[in-house]
Order: sequence, then structure tokens, then C-alpha cells
Amino acid sequence: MFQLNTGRDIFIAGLCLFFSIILSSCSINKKAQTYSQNPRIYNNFIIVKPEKNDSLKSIAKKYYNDSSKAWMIAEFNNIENPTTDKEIVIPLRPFRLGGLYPMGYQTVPVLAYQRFGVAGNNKSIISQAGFEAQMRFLKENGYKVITLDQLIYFFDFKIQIPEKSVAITIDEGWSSVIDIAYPILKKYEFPATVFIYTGFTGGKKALSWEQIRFLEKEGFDIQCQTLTHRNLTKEKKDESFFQYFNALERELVDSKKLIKKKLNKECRYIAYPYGKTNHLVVAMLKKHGYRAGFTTNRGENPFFVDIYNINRCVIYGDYDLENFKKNLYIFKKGY
Amino acid sequence: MNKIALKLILVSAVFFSGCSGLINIPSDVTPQKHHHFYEIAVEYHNKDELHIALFYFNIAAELNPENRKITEKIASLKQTIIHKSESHLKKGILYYEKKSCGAAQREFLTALRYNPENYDALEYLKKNKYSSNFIKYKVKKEDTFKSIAKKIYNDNEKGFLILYFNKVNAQTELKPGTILNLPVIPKKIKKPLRADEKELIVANALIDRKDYDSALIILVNILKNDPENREAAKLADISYYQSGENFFQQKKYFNSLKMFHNLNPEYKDVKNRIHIIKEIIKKQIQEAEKFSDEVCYAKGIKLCSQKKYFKAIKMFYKVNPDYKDVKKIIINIRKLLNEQAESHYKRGVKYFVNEKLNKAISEWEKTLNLNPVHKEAKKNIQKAQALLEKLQKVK
Repeated sequence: MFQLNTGRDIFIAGLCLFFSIILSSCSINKKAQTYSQNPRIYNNFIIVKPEKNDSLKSIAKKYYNDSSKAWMIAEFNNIENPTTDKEIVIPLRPFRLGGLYPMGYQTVPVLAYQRFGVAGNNKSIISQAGFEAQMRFLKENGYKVITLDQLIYFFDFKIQIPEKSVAITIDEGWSSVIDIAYPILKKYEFPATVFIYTGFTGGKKALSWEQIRFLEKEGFDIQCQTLTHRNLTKEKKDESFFQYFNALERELVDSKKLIKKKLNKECRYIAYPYGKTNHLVVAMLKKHGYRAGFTTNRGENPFFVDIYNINRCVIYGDYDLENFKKNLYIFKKGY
Repeated sequence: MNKIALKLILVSAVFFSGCSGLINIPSDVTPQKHHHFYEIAVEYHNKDELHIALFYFNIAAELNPENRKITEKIASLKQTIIHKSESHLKKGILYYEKKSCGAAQREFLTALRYNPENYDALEYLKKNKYSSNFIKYKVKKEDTFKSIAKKIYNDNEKGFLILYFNKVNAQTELKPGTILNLPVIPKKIKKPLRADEKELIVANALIDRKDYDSALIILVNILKNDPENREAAKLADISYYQSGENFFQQKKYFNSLKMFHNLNPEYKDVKNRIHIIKEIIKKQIQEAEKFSDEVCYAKGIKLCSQKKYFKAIKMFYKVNPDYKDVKKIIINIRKLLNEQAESHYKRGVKYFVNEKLNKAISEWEKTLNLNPVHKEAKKNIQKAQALLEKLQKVK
């Protein structure tokens, strides 16, 4: 069929062979490069082959620039630790907004503390050992303490949070926050929010503004618990509606302004004194730029909770660890 | 030989190019292939977690974009998700309208579980669960703030709540159809307003109307009876400040200063305002004084030319001593007047010697008019008067 009569024909055939080898080797290189790349980056995810000393935290730090998001990789891949023999997927967008499962939905416990010290007759005082034990329990049992900003974004259906999320709040602003709670929270790297009532700040047993600034610098979130800690839902004896209305405005606005002046920060959240609120208070909060309000009603907080009536579990000084555990509702079965 | 060589070359070419499709990766890498994720996707699909299944199918598709089976699966799953989510939303709305809150919540949550981007389901879910803090009120013809407050709260004095929670002021004409947000008021709080509270509402409305003077009349009265009334004090501060500001704009600086002086110097920029106004007033006084110097000086010169030196010196005394040559003129006039006074004095002495006592007194009085500190003239008048009295007694 073919005849290679001349040296020219042989040269052409050799050239064909050469190019076919070059082309085929190019094709080999292309595929090999695709599969051997580490990481393989796509629009909504990254595939990574963990290296010997990698942890989920180091991977999260590398790809999210935030080691605290290790849980997102763990939950997506259903693993506790990475292994070098198995690639993992790093999701780049939420995959379970609202914590919705076919059998139920996620809820977030918000813990409310008040004072720390020697627990005696005053139920609101938590002992140092008791608080330490509770925080250790959270750490050792895989609970992730989130900030109130994260909590509110979760309620807004904007971000996903760890399955075992908890938030920690401390009311009123007693000086024991800095003496007892701060070192323990720092030890476990847990964020917390302190709701201060500004009329108390600087008092004998209260945090001073200097201490509050220190706590803020250390990562604590400082928010507002009104000016005088009056019950916002009750008019005083002989107080008319108009006086009550004006008093409400002072409680919500003056304290916010003072915190803005002292800390140069805008308060967005309020803890209602005695945990009580009503429609008028909420209407006024909305007018003055508050994004959420916290009660002391025990209960679950799914993403669709009323953000001006967020439930909190008050932790009392006489609670043992069993009582404490009962407040950690993280899942509600059924719809 | 040549044929064999050609066949060898062609077989080699086919072999090498064909092998390229089979060769994958270096042996030390164990990448997850698309079917691994496809399997996970199917698992989630079977568990009815369609949204997460879709995520995994998308991973499989990214890893093997040419696999039609996966792309078709994704397309059909997307449709299923939308269909299921919408269907649960519709059911939820039906329950919502029937006020079956629990059933509605279940449907909205399911709609969101299938499709987290179903924002209608999200909105209904929250609306279904919580009552609003506001009543939406649609303004009707001839409605006023008071009449609305009467209708909603059974208390027309609560009209101020409408102003507080809506972007309207007391002068705003309520257009029919406008939607107003009226806060829900707890039933317990229903005490009627006291007289001063009613007055405060009126003062508030006057301030809205920028009638600060009228507002101040009311507020000053409230504060007179109740100096601790914080709301009245707050409104009075606003009124004094705005009134001061208005006078300032009208260049009525004294009035403006008066208003600002009623305020605490720490209020807003009051301290600075007072300083500015004082500077302006000081300049104005200086200007006025300058004008006055000019006029008095000219009048003084004119009087001098009419030889009315006594009136002239009075005029020059009104002029700033540093103005032009006023000091020198005054010294010269003074000298001239002293000379005239001396001349009258001497004439008086002559009359006295000639026992014309009345004429002597008259001359010395002229002396004193020209030089009020002329001691001799004063003494001599007394002497002459004493003599006159004695003479009259003798007669």
C-alpha cells in the first residue's frame, strides 16, 4: 500500500513518529498535573491532600485564613482529624444553612452568667471551680463557643455555625468578670459578651471603664444592659405613660450613647434587665439601632427565633455539672 | 524492509498517542475521583438531603465535566429541589392563612431545607411565628394624629407616638393611603396624661412648627413649677438654642446672646456661639463709638467757631480723648474759659469794692460756670450774700 522509496519518505515518516510521541507525552503531562495538584481549587470547594503535620486547624487557617473554622471541614467530611492517605474537601460556601436536617433542626443555647466568687446564699454567684468545670466540659465535649455576631448572622440565615454551638453572656458588669471569668475564658479561648448597665459601671464592685476597655482589647464583646437596670416592662408607681415612655428612651439611648463615647463602639445587642421586654421596648430598640435583645427565658434558639426575644439559660451558683448539661439544647427533633 | 519500517513507525505512533489516554497520575497520589463524590451525593439523595446531595454532585461534575450522567442528574435534581420547596411553601401559606401555625412552620422549614434560597419561605416562617411590634395603619381621609391615636389607643394624647415612630412631624399633612407604624402598647399602661404632660406635648408640637418663642412660654412655666422636669428642660434647651440661632441669622445679636445665655455653656457649641456673638457686638460698639467721635468732634468745632466754648468743651468731652487732637483742643478751650472766668472774677471784685453786691455775685457766678473749681469765686459769693443779708436786716 505504501512504499518508502526514498530517504525523503523515511524522513517524513520519522517526523510523524516524533510529533506523535511529543503530542502524546503532552497529553500525559496535562492529566497528571490536574490530578497531582495539591490543592485542587474549584469555585465552591477545594480538594486538599493533607500533609504529615497538618491538622484541621492548620488547614482552616491556610484556606479560610481562620483556624476557628476547622469545624466546617470536619463536619463536611465527617472526620475528626485529617489523614495523609485521604483527600478532604474544603467547602467554600455554607452547606447546611439554619442547621436543618430531615429529622429536626439545630438550636443554640445562650448561657447567662452574672457574678463569680464564693458561692453562698446568693444564687447568682458562680464559684471559680464551678465555672472552670463548666467551661472544661464544653471544651472536652466538642462544644464550640460562638460570638453574638455569629449567632445573629445564623439567625439571619446568612451563615452556618458549628453543630454544637453555644454562646456565653455575662450580665451587669461585676468586677468578678475580670478577676475570675476572664482567666478561665482566656484559657479555653472562648469568646464572651458582657452586658453592662452603665449606671453601675465604675461603682465599688463593678468593672471600671478602664477594665472594660481591657476586656474589649482581649476580645470580649461589650454590649448594653440599659442605664439603671430598671424593669423595662413596668411603669413605676405614679408614673404616667409619658414619663414611662421618656424613661424607656433614656434607658435605651443614654446607655448606648455612653458606651459609644467611652469605647467608640456601637451597641447592637441588649440584655433586658430581669430578662423582661414588651412590644413597646422592642419598637424603641428597632428605632434606635439595636439588632437583637436577650431575655432570660429558658428555651431553644433555632435560626427562626425572634431576635428581640432570644432565650437564655441563667446558670445559677447551685448548679452541678448535670444541671448545667441540661441547658445545652443543641437540637430539636421534628418540625 | 521499507514496508516493515513504515508499519513499525505507524504502530509506534498509534501506541504512544493511545497510551496517553490511559496514563493517569503518579503512583504516590491517591486523588478522590468523581465517582467517590457521586456516591456520597447518592447517599444524601437517599436520605432526602437534596441540597447537600446537589453540593456533592456538583463536586463530581467539577472533577469530571464531560460526564453527561452527572450533569443530567444535577439538572433534574435542581428541578426537583425547586418543585419540592415551592410545593411545601404553598402548603405552608395555606396553613398560615388558616392560622395553623405549627403546620405552617413545618412546611416552611421543609421548603427551606430543600432550598435555602427560598426567601419567601423564610419570610413567612418568621411572620408566622411572631406577632409584629407595630400595627400598620392606613391613613384615611380627614385623619389627624389625635384621631388616629384615639382610634388605636383610645387616647388621643398618644398622637406623639405616631410622630416618634414615623418619619413625619406635626406639620405633615397626613395623606390618605399612607401607611403608619403604630407601636403595640402593653395593655397595663393606660394612665391618663397629667396637665404638664399635655403641655409638653403642645410644646413639642410648637417646636416641630419652629415656633420656639411660644414653646418657651409653656416650657418656662412648667420649669417654674417643676425645675426637675427633665423633658421640659430638654425641650427648653432645644428652643433656646434654635431661637438664639434664628436671632443670630437675623443679625439680632443682643437677642441671640440673651437666648444662648439661658443655656448651659456645655450644651452643644453654646460656649463658642457666645464668644462669637460677643466679638461681633464688641466690633459693632467700636464702630458705633467711632461714628460718635466723628460727629461730636465736628459739632465741637462748629461750636468753637460760634465762640460757644462752654458747649464746645462739653461736646469734646464726649469724644474719645485719643481721637484726633481732642486733648489739645480741650486744653486750649479750658485755657480760654479760665481766662474768661478770671476776667469775670476781676469784674466781680470791682463791683464788690464799689458795693454793687448783686452785680459782683452775678460776675462770680459766671466765673464758676466757666471754672467750677474757682475757690475764690465761691468764697466771695458767700461773703457777698452774707453782707447782703446783714444789710437787709439793718434796713
